[in-house]
This record gives sequence, C-alpha cells and structure tokens, in this order.
Amino acid sequence: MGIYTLPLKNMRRNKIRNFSTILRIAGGVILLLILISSGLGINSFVKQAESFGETTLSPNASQTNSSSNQTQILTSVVTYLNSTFGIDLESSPIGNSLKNLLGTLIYVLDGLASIALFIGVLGVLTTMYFNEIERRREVGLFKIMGFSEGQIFLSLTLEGALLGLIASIIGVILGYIGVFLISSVFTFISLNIVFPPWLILGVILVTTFLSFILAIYPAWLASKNDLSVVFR
Amino acid sequence: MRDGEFILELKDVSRTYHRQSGKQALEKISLNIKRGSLTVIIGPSGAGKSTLLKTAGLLEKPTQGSVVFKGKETRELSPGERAKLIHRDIGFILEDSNLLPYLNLLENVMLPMINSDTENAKDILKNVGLTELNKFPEEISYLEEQKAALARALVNKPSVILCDEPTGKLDSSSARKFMDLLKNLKDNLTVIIVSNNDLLASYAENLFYIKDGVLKEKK
Repeated sequence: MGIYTLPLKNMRRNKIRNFSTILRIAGGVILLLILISSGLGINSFVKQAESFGETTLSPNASQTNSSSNQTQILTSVVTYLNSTFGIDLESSPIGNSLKNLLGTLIYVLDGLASIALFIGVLGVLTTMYFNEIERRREVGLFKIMGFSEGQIFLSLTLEGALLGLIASIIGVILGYIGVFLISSVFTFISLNIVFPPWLILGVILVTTFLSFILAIYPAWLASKNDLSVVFR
Repeated sequence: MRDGEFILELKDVSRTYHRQSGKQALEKISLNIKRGSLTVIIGPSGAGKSTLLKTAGLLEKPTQGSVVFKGKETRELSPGERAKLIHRDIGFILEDSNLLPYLNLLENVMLPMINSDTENAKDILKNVGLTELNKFPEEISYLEEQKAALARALVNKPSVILCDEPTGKLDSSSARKFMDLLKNLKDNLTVIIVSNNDLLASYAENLFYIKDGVLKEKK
C-alpha cells in the first residue's frame, strides 16, 4: 500500500532537516563504534595478558594448542608483553592494578558510547516532532483517503526507523574508517582495536530500534490530527 | 449488503459542534442519493456544506440521526471499519488538491491504491488528460492539479465521489472544463458536489440548496 512507501519518499523533502538528523545519529554511531571497539581492544589485551600469565605458570601450555598458528600468535603476544611490561600480570601487584584500571576504562568507554549514541538518536524525536507539525494537512488527507490511524502511525514510525537505519549504516562505514585510521595513526599505543561483525550488526539494529521507539510519540500525536484541516 | 435504489441515505441527520452554545451545523437533514446520480448542493459559506459532506462521507458521525451507506447503518461501525469502507468505496475531491509536493503525479495518484497497479493508475491519469506523469504538483496548473485529484479519487474504483468546492480555485473556463470531464468520466459513479458556485447547478441531476444547516430541494 502506498502509505508504507512514503517514509522513503519523504526523504526528498526537508532534505536539510533529515540530513542534519542523519549526521547527528551517524556521529553518535561513530563515537559508539570507536569507544566500544577500543573497549573491546582493551578487553582482548587484558585477556592476552592473562593468557601470558598462564603461559609462564604452565610452560607446557603452548604445547596443548593443537593449532600451530595459535601457538605462533601466543608466542608473539608473550614476546610483546614481555617487552612492554617485563612482568607477569597475574602475580605482579602493578600488573593487577593495571588490569583493574583497564577494566574500569572499558566500563567508562561503554558508558560514554551509550550516551553519545542516545544524544545522536534524540535528533529523531525533534525531527519527527517538526515533521508532525508540518504534516497535519497530509495526515488529514490520509484520513479522507481511508487510511486508519494505525496505518498512519505505522507509516510515521517507520520514517523514524528509516532515519536511524540510514544514519547507522553511514555511521558504521565512517566509524570503520575512523577506527582503521586511529589504529594506524596511534601505533605507539599498541592496543588492539577490535571490530567484530556482531558489533556492526548490533549497532545498526540498536540504532534503528531506538529511532523507531523515539518516533512513536510524535507519530502517535500526528495520527490523532483532525482531518477538518484539509477542508479549509 | 442490500443492493437498493439508494446508495446513500441520510435520515434526520443533525450535527452540533458546540453542544453548550447549541448551534447546529446541520438540522435534521434527510437526503436519499440514487445510484449513479449527480447531486449538487449549493450554499453560502458557513451553511454547513462541508459538514454535510464529511457526515455523508463517513468522516464524522452525526450527533443525531443515521447515515446508511449501501444499505448498511454506519453508526455502529468501528473507526477501522469506517476507514476501510471509505478506502474502498468513497473518493474525495476538495478545493485544494492536497497533492503531496514531494511526489510526482503518478506517485500521488498511486498513494491510496489498494493494489499498486501502475498501469491502472497511468490509464486513469490518461483518461483525465494528464500525460506528463513525472511532473511535480508545483509544475502544473490548478486545473491539472484538480484533474490529478480526480484521478486519485477514481483510482480505487469507488462507488461514490464527494466533492467540496472542486472548482473553488479555478476560473470559470477551467471550472467548466473540470465539470465536463467529471461528467464524462462519471459513468455509473454517484457524485455529490457541495459548492457556493451557481455555475455547478447546471450540471446537477438533483439540485439542493443549504442555508444555516437546513437543506431544501430545488424542484
């Protein structure tokens, strides 16, 4: 039915408003990706450090690995950690403090990431609210065409979700490039920045869902508009 | 549904907007509309024309009385059932075409379609004399806008077309062209027009006058 294709076509109008909303959400997504992927990198770093401890305690550990590739990676991590700290993280008090600090940092980064995304996605609320004010006549037209309030509501919330979807895809692409650039520029930090596929999919789904949720109230308001406005 | 002589029956319909002031927009109106007829209701501004059209078109419930559409009493219909009935059976043409500015003519006409049949929409646009389907509303004249609104109203093959001042933005020459087109395309459709333009009275098969919410038939 035509009304459900409107969210896509509506991108043609209010281009500046839609574009700025997409930019804001995409900005949140980029920050989210960079911070979470850094957090994941720290996490993986700590785990590697722990496995280094196990290696020193159990010299035969490397022999238990069936894959020679894994052994090679472990060996290189052990060598790297030795050269960085020269200590066993599991038994050293400094190593433990460092581990705790990094663990806290992960929570802080994740918290900042969530706030950044939420602030970005809040743009959907204001955009949809302004759209609702502008489109009272349009909603009245839908009603005289025989579209139910439920159909109008769904069409408008889909519009919010679409803004989130487009922004999250753009954000993921730019975020990926950003993470790649950061990890290649700040090589002296030597921390891994992890960018797993579930993070990409998760960020797109969460952003789209949040945008959909935030579009609910303005869409509900719009669907209740009086149709008399089109008769004037 | 009963396939009777009348497609639409208004029985003692009254409509009050401000209950406390007691002002009635419609006062005990009874109107039987025959299938395939063209009815014109003439009246000045504020006479209750739009209210009558909204009530007849199931967009508003009467305060008193009943509206029977295709033999079915509509008072007890749920909002969803009313919307479905409007979608399938009633087309509206208003003074302002209300074409969506970000859709081209074909997209505007296809908007209310139940089955997205592009060829059918193109045929209807061709029948009303519009061939440049990719044009946007701001690129066409008022007459062309109203033609597109007519095509949009016809696209679901409704039983009834309700028009509120359909020639309100047109000069007399364009108004005649639009009315001629509507009459030619009408076929078995039932058409009800409310207007303050006496020119439209000449197209009426049934002519009524409305003033202060009271309807009178012109014999």
